[in-house]
Amino acid sequence: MIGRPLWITLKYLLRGIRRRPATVLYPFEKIRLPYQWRGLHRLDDGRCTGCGACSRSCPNICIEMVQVAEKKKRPSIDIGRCLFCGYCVDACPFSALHMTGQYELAVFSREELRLSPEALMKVEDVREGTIDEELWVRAYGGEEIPAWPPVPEKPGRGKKDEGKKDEGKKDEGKKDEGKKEDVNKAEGKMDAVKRTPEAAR
Amino acid sequence: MDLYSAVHGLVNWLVGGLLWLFDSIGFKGPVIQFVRWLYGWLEHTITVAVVVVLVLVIGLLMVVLMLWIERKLIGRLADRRATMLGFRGIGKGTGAIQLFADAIKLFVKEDLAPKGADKHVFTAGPSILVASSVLVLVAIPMSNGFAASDLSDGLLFALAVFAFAPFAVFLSGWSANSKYTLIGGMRSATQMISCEIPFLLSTAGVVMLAGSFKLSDIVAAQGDLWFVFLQPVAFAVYLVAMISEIERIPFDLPEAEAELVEGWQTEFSGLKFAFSMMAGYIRGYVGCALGVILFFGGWSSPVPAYSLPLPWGGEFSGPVPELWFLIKVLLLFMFLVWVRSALGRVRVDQIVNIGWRRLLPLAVFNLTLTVALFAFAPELESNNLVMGAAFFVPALGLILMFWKWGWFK
Repeated sequence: MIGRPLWITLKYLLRGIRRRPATVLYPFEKIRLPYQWRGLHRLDDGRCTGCGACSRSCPNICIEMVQVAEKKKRPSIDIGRCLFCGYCVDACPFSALHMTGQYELAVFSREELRLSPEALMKVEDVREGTIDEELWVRAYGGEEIPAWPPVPEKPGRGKKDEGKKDEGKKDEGKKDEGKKEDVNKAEGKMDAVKRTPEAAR
Repeated sequence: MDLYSAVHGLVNWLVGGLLWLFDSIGFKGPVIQFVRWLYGWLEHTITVAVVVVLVLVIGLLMVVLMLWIERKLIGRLADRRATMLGFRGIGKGTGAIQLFADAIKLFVKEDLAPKGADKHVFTAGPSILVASSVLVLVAIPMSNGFAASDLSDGLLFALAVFAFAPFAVFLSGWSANSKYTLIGGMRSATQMISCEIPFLLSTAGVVMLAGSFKLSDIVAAQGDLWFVFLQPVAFAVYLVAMISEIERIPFDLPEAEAELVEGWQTEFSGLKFAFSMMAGYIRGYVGCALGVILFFGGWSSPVPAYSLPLPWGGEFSGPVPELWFLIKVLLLFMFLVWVRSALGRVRVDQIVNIGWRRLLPLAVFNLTLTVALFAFAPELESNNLVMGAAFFVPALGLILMFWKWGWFK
């Protein structure tokens, strides 16, 4: 009754000598993020077609398509209502939205929480160099960490032969490494195949 | 040379030098004569004041050190990094200025008293607590010479003043006109009654072995064998009862922050809170210091005597005894921090059980054993090994018996 807790705490003390303790000095140091981290959205204007799939898929109805120019609509996101589920990212047929590692989102007023398309475009992707590679290796056993943002080999607007190309790629991938495919599904990585308009439908 | 004569010499030298300076610049007259006369009158008072301030400052520095150690160590024991606030350059990540930040915060807080509180008693509570805690420091020598006063009944004095705190705790708990503080004060009284008797009885065996109440005599008596080996049961009882006396976590019923908000300290704010916390740590220092003096050989060096030649001549034979004393005190305190991080709080009925049904029989057994060995086999004292065995084997048998009875469950 007395010995066991004493031993456990002593174990943590000795472990803390060899490696660092679990906590970090937050504003000055930051933990490394898991690969699947869902932070603030970033909008790639060149890819967005203004189709509104993100807005329709949002369970909290926080994405609103706003008119930025004539015949040009772009999503704006109310961060105060967003639950960072990532459905909009999954729904986007052209990978125009992806989630960055940005998580320091406190602002001074409620109005600042609604991010305009321009603001979303300017969001800095701080994910570079912040991914916890060790965690990835522990979870997925030595797989290579995929690049971020995961830009699939996929045509943007105006390309006609997207369907064929992606079909070919899909087969290739399945033949090669079934395992890797599973891994990608498990961690919710944006799959090139899923992103084609056919799959979205 | 003891501390008093050293300080006396220093004060004499300083004042004499100052007066000589006035003399030499030709500043003579009735004023200087008066100062000379006044100094002759107040010489010993000034010396005593300086000695006391010195001892007090050492005690407060130890409190600061203990606070810092407690924070860092308890963080590490819980696999986190504890306080990290430090200076950009030298103390970065050490938490060195966290204590000062806390102190400044507490100093500038408003001093509030709840409605309906007995204001005078409410102020007197922490005052008595701090005064009685600081007073014990006087009786604690740090080496043969370094002591404010090495009383001939130093242990009795220290224990008597040490036992004074629950009174102040109860007063401040009762005067604040609040349910939580009142319950905290009641619990403090309960705990004190349960654990004070075994606490005192556990020291009696040590006093019998040393043959003196004088703390420096007790240290001198364990020159070759520490009393912790001769009195293991007494040490166990002392440790548990001491933790209970200084209200640290396995026995911090009076300030159980999960049940009573902060126990008897709930209504204190600002300086009162700071002082009551500080008194707690001074009591922790005093408890650890008494434990080291009684059971761990005080300021005697734990390593065998050695001497290394120094490059600039002379010989180095270990650090000063005061340093060994403080190191031992801090090690014992670290053990308390470890216990604090590991164990949960006991209930009120459990503390009464522990005090009356576990600690008291153990202490009485230890005392009986000591008396019996002294009365029937006084020649044992000549051989340390035989004496150690004579004390240790019954203690071990007792512990095994208690284990079988399920006392430690």
